[in-house]
Amino acid sequence: MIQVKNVAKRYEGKRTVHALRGVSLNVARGEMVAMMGPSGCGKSTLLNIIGGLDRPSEGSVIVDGIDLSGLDDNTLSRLRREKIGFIFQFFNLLPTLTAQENVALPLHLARIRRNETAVRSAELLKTVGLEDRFDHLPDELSGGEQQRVAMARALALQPPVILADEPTGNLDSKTGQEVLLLLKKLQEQFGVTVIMVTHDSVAAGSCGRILSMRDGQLVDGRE
Amino acid sequence: MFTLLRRISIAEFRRHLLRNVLTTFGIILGVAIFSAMRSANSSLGKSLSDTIGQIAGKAVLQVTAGQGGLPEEVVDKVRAVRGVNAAVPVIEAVVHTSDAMQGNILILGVDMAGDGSMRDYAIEGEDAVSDPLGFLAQPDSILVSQEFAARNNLSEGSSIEMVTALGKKKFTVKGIMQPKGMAKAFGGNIGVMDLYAAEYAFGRGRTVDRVDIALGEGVKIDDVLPQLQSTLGSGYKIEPPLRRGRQTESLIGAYSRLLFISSLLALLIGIFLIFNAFSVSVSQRRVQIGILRALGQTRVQIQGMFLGESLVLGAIGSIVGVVVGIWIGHGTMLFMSRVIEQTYGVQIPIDKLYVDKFWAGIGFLLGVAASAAGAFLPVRTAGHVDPALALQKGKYQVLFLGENRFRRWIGMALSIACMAAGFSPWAKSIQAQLVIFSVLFVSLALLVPTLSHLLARLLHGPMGLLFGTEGRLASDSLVQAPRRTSATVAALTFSLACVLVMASFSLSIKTSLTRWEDFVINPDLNVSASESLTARTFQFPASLGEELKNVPGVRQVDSLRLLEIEYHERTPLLLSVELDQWLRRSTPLLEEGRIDDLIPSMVGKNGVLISNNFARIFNVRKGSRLFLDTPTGPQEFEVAGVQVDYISDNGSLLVDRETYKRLWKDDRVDDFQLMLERGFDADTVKREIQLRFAGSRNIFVLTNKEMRAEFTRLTDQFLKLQYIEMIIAVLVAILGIVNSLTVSITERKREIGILRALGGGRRQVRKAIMLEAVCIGLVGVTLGIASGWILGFYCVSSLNAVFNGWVFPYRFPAAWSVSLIPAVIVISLLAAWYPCSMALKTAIVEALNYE
Repeated sequence: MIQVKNVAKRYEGKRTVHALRGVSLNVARGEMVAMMGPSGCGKSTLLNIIGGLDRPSEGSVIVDGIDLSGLDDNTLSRLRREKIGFIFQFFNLLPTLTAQENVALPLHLARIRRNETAVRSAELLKTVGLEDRFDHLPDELSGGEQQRVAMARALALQPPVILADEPTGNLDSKTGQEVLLLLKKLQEQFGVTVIMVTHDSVAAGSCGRILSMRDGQLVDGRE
Repeated sequence: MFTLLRRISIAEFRRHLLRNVLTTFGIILGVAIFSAMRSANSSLGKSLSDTIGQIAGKAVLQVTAGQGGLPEEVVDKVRAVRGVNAAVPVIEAVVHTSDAMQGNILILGVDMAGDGSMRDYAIEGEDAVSDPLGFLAQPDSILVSQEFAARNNLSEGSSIEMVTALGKKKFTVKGIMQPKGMAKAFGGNIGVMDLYAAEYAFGRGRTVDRVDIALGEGVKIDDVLPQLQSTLGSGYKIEPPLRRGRQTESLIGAYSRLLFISSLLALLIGIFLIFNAFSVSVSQRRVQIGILRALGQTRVQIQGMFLGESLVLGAIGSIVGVVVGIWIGHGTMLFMSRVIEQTYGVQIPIDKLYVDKFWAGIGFLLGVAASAAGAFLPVRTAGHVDPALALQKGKYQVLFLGENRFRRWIGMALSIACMAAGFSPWAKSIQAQLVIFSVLFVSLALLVPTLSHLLARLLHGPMGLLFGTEGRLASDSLVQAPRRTSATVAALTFSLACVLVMASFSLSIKTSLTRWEDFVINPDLNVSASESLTARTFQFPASLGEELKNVPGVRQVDSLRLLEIEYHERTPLLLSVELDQWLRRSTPLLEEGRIDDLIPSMVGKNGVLISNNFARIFNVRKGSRLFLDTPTGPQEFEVAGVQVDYISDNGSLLVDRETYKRLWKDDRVDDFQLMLERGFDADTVKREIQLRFAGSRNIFVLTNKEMRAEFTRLTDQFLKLQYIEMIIAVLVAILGIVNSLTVSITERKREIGILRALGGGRRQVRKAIMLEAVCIGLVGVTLGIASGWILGFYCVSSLNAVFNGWVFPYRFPAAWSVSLIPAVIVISLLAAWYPCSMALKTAIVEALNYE
């Protein structure tokens, strides 16, 4: 499902920072993979490159058979919309939109009809257990609830891939556990491929495979 | 506070340079207009006082009796007063030279035998006029300044042709005055003639314009003034020469007031821009605030830091504003100088701009105060940031509670109360009106969040229908984020409202004047001694009326005399005409009184028909009694009626011609207004009059059509400054749109990043953002039109009346309102394009981490 081939990422500045140094990996369809490592080892950078949010300095990324390196901005946007769902550590919900409107946002961007958008966003919120929080703004929800909204939003267009960047990093352990269970359930229910960046070994333990990174390289679980 | 300013604020200034620069523009513009207006005023005032001083010479007092002049015998009465060393009669006339290149020249008619004691006549090459007897004996003798002579290649013996009351006449230069003292006044555009020759040439009869007085050594003004006043009676004004500049100062004052309003308007919008920018800044820097609070800074220190930033921003804007103001002050000065030229006839040269440090300081303080006022609420909010919430990344704290019902009801109640109070009889003072206007403004500002939310909801459907997903996203964003867009919409609303208030003024004034023009310009021909409807340099003798009656086709001749008189520190216009004749051709628009009662109460009696603005300014009405100073002493008049009249912003009084002649001892005429027999062509009669009289006197004949064209020209000239005001208001509005949208879009980098991460294409996100800018523009322009209507109605119908007594029927500027809509949409799109492009260029990952 996902192929990463010799991906390197450098940030040029007063001194060049090598965030990734020739990373390669394969993730199969329906697999749930955890990516661990200390802060600054390049996990989030790799996740952003896989998700098409960032571009590699070298190497290539293939998602569902599509090579991201050759895509223009519009096609890359469409790919993100159709193939990838994001879950962020800090939720990244739009503070001015309600829970349902946040979930509906990708559907609007994909020009799904309004009726269908309303039905699908409501169903997804029910799936994540927020049927009584449709009209709440993000700041009226707890951290766990916000992350559930973010998960529902990630699944709105039923993408084959979910990329989660420390989804429990901003939650207490109990809530984090609930979110992980939900993520696992959704992964099984929708059959999506999940790559999750985490510091939490318990969270990583819920995944089928654990990759370890250090200094921009995969040090364990390499292909 | 200073540590925080030094360590934190400077870096923040640099980081958000564009926002800070755009925000400061509001302050710069306001202070610049204020500073320009004050610099120009000071320069003109100084130049004017220099000019008046140069012409006055050694005179410490001057006697005048309004524009009617004073009889020659007054001079002897003045001379007889103890303490008076010298008293000399003077005639002052601005005269056109025949050669357009030579321009206008101020001619002083003086008694050459005695005036040397008052003014310095240093003649080139010699100590005096080479042939003094010849100068006196020949009425065509003239002295000119060296500057005027050099400019026009004149030398002793040259001739110069000037337009006089007797038509074009040639004068002979009998001496060239050295460039000092009086000869330097009006840039050297000055000439001197013998008094009697001037009386004759300029149709003054046996009257002079003023008497200049020099006192004996050691004699104080206060010692002689009471005696002079009792000797001459109350019909005469005795005052130091510089006070005579008041009329011009009041003329500049009218323009200055308008410019002052412009500068306040720009500062007001500046306050909104500062409010908007600081609201965003506090919102963006809540993590920073949290960290500082965690490190032990108190609420007051945090508030001090933001207040300090606003003061620094205000100070920078004010300094730049003062400098820019001095620079544009040159242009303002030239404009005002031209206004004075139109009044005086000759230009007052202004060598350099005089920077008044006091007013520069006031301008600076105004700018800083405006900045502090704009930042007040955000600064208060900064102190209420919860450090624990602020430090939780991703946790959004609602910093502005925004609209609430209480505020909405207060806004509504205040608006209604202000409209009621503004039109109530006790709100007659300028201070009361300004307070009511300010409260009305604030009350509308309180309603903006509620109304903008309501309008955004209304836009939702049409935007979705017209622009699909992006349109819905745009309107959704506006509906869901009233807190974010309220300040932007408010800045836009009030910028546009100010444009419409100015437009309402212009339209209402123009409409009223046009209606009045239909009533007032009804003679078939107007015969004037001066070249325009406003100039009153020359007068006709009354006997010309009889001669005009003999012209074939002339049915009726009305003799009109107009002069400014002093009344309660203002100078209303006194008009006199043969009332019974005038009423045969005119139907005055009476607000009080009946037309049938006018003749019995005014003809041959001390009855007066006053203008409606005179009634309001001086709080008089039909039946009131007024005391007017006349050359025959103070006279009591009864108000016979109140008519709609726009001839003077100080009001007007109309008396019967017989009454005028009896009390003012003056039978001269400014204009003869002619009605023709049926079947006679106005142009033919005009040619006949010109043929008959052009050779013997200065005569200007205008047909009704030409008078109307001249009236329109004068109206447009009067409204010119209004148009300049509107241009300033439009500039301020554009600044408001550009600034607030730039700030709004720049603030939303993270949101744009989220949209992009969720799969929104650049084009799609750009379209949504641009459409949101259009929505903001549409909401702003709708509220701007509504506020402009309310504020405009108030200003035209109530506020204006306390300044000049005129109540113009309000006219809604529909054309302006309609044209503002597409203009605002285009400006909103243009304003949003650059910040939107910059936000879209930001890498998604970076944008997602943007706080």
